[in-house]
Amino acid sequence: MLKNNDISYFFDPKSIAIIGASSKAGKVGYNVLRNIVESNYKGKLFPINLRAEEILGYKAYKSVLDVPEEIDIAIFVIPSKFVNFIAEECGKKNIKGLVIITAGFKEIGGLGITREQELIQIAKKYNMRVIGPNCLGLIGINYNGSFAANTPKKGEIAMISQSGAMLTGMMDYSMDQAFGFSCNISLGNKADMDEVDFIEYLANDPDTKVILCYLESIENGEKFLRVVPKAVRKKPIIILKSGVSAAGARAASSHTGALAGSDIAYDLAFKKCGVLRANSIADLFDYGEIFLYQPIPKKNSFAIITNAGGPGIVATDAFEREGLKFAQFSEPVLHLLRENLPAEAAIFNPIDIIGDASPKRYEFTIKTIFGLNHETGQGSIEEDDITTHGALIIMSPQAQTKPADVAKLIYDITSKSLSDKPIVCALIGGVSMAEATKYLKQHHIPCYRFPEGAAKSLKAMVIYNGFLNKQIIEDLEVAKFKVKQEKVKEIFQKVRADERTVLLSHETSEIFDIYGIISPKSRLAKTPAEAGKWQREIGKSVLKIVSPNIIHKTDVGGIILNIETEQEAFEAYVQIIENAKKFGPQSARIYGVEVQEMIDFKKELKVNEVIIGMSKDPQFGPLLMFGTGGIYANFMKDVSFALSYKFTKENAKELIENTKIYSLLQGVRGEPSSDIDAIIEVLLRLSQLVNDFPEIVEIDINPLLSFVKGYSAVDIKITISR
Amino acid sequence: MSKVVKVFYLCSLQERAGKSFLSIGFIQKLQKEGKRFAYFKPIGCPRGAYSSKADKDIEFILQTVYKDRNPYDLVCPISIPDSYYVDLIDSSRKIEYIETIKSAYDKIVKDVDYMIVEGAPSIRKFVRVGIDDVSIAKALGINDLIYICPESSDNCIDNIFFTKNYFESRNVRMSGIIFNKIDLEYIARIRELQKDHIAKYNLPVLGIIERSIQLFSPRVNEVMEAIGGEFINEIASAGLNNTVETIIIGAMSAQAALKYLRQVKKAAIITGGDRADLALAALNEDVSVLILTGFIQPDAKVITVANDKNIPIILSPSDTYTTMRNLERLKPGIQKDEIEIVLKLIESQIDWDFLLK
Repeated sequence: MLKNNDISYFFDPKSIAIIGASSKAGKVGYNVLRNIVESNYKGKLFPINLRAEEILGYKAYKSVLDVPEEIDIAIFVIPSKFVNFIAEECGKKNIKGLVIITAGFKEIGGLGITREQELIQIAKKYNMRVIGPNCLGLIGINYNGSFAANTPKKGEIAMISQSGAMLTGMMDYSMDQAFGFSCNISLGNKADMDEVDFIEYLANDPDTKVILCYLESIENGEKFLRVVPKAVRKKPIIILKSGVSAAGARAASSHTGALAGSDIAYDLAFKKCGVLRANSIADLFDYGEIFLYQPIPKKNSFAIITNAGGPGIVATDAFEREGLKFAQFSEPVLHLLRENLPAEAAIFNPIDIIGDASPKRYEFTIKTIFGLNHETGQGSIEEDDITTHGALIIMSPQAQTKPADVAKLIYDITSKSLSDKPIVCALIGGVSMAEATKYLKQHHIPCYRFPEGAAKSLKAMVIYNGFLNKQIIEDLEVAKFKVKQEKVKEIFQKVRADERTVLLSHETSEIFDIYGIISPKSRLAKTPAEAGKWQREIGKSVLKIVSPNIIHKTDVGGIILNIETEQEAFEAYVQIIENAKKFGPQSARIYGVEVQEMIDFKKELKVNEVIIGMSKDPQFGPLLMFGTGGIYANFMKDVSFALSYKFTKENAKELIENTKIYSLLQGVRGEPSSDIDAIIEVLLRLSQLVNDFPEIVEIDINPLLSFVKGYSAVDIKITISR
Repeated sequence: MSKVVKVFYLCSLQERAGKSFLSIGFIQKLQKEGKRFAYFKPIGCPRGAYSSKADKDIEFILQTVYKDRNPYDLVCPISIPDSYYVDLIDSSRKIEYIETIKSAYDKIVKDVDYMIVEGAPSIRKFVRVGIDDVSIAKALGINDLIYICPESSDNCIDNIFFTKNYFESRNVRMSGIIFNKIDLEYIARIRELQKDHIAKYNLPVLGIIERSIQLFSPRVNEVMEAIGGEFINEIASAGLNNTVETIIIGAMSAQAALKYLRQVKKAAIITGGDRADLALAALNEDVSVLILTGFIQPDAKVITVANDKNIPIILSPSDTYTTMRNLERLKPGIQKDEIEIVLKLIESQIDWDFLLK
């Protein structure tokens, strides 16, 4: 990453050069210059054009080096083959930032990749920052430096998009909405600056209240995890992430890899950082709007007020689906509702004020649940009796419903008395609701056509509030166990020298031993006599063929159980080698036979097979997995995941609690509880192992046998990168 | 001949023990050590019965590690084909052969301190007509022979002692043993046998060399030649240099075959040209070449995928069994890009202090 972190010159430049400015309408070089001029840019403009003397009234120059004044940024709209040459000139001119709208770089492959690398080298040399290439441009505080057809309204949403077309679409969509933009950034190829750079900057931008992103990929997951949580504490960040990540293409040779979907790491990373994930364009703007205009609820405790049963039930379902909680009204509130609403009304949450509800009845109900004095609009019920921290108000078109009047009084109440409780509306209908919908939107009350959208938006606020109340990630205490890392390094060196990526079982056993994870004792025997010797040391054993090329050991007769004497071990060794040579792949390299302690779990009161794994995500690093193990692991798919980044004891607990097997571990039908604390410790130790050694790409422990006291990691597979 | 020349006469009881491989390694090592040495192979085996007199292995050595040293005829004075050869060398010509060998040997030995002599495929070879390894060694005044043992089973012990006794009966000596092409899992066992059986007879173990899958695996080019096949996707010609480590016959359903395909590395898949399902499944795995039997042209999709992945497709004129049998007979040679690996192996695994002292 290039240095120079103050990037304010991109948003509020004092002077701009347009490389390739044109006077011919229809050319990108014309559109960009026209947009800057029409957006009332007050700074200095320098069109750069080899032939023109003047463009749109501005004196044109042949080169940036001919411009007699300082230039903050240069916007490129020339063919790609000339870009690097001119970028070099920009460097000599001490220009701070380049916006490369031009395409024909990394996205075309081959020569384009080299061209982009060269561009970055030039930028580095002159300490310039680069937006793009292959982007729409940027709309900053004081100018529209893009080739979009329109300049969007000013507002407080910052929009970052990896797709230029998505950005123009969203800008166009916003034209008849209440909200506008503080800035619009098109990322393009992200050769230098990416979403994280802009998020970091915009977090401190006083003109931006909410950051919305449309992303197709995140290249630098580590930077994202480090920077974004701090930004989220300052303002909400909502991301619509599309596309299948590169992770999906990786070969999933482990259970963990196969069970972890391509997108799960993004979900986990967003959750860890407090980023709200939108699943559709509609969600993206719905969330943006509610954060922009409504206060964040202090608690997950909401009311639904409806004038019809059906929509009320639909809304209730949506609330439950989203995990939104219903406020339990206090007795004084219930008393007021009971006394003043018709007998047919349902006064418990959701409140059904029935079909003939007038604006007055809406007003009474809203004020009552929020404890507002009906005369003055100020609080009348004791503070402790107010349990509602936000509300969804539903209107369906009935004969007595006066949507426009209700809309006005909702605005009236919220603007005067409800500064810390979000109110959203769902106006179910079309024509008869149009005026009220328009009024509410104009007055910054989020208004949805159906209750589901409202529930999702409120949920987003609850999640955000939950994140704000969590400990700051950087301050989290991550367990650190004392281990002899050197020894593990040596094992990996040996594996690499052997041109292997998969560790043999005695190697994994040794590593687990070093990291304090209990697995059955294991030794590698290279001759029948050695097998006998190890059996004597270990006791009752199972003998297994050791070869990286033999995956299905049982199929080739590569496992013999219940070896109780030295002689049996000697014979089993010979038998296993003969079987493997006869039935295994021809070119299999056989390292010998593993003599592994046979766990006698019949003596255990209770045994549960769990799976613990790690699969390395290309963007966000190690991904830990826990779930139901054994041979049915892949079919049960009872697993949950967590990022190993800043993985705490609480995270480990949560990881276990998110699975079905957690209930079994707790004990059912009078069973004793399994040693869950021990499993938590395994997860923490495993997390440390994978963070200590980034070369580990996959770990599978399947099964890990969990007992009432203790556990045993029976079958372990570790894969390292080449 | 007054000066003492140290001779490494490499011989074996079994064929394909890796004598050429060892010779290539020995030549490089002596070159690296700056020693005055020569390489000699008394009797070569031409490729075709009567078509060419050149031995493929010797040609390779002369073109790579032993360039511009001695002419072919001096390095390998006699050439005897592999089939119907007894008629060519009736004992009446024995003297003539021995003289030819001796004269060539004398010419190249005079300027060197070390001689590498590569024996016949087996010490049994040409014993009927008296030009076997022991007879030649004796004629050249060589009494010590190095025995190459390529066995990864306890049979090796019997063969070592059989050979030792045979040598003694003919008044030559086994001066050391090199275990070559040994399976990884058998190396520890050899050390046990050395301790318990070999050491007490004062037989030095000069080295234990693991079977190198890479070195002893054929290239696709060699496979094609061995089965008399036709290469049909020019685009994937870079793949002709691929190594073939495993051979798999695809007869079962594609789904069932996957389990086996996933376990192998650099495989040659032999299947029918009309088995597009299996061919496509195989092309997703670590495959070096697709061999389609019965000369049946494959589906266009198979060719497209193979082209994408640079995997050659070879049409075999024979049925699957015959194709497989021809492949089993294939004796892969060392490739030019592998000679450095040979040196590395020979250098690290052979007791040179003992050999050069």
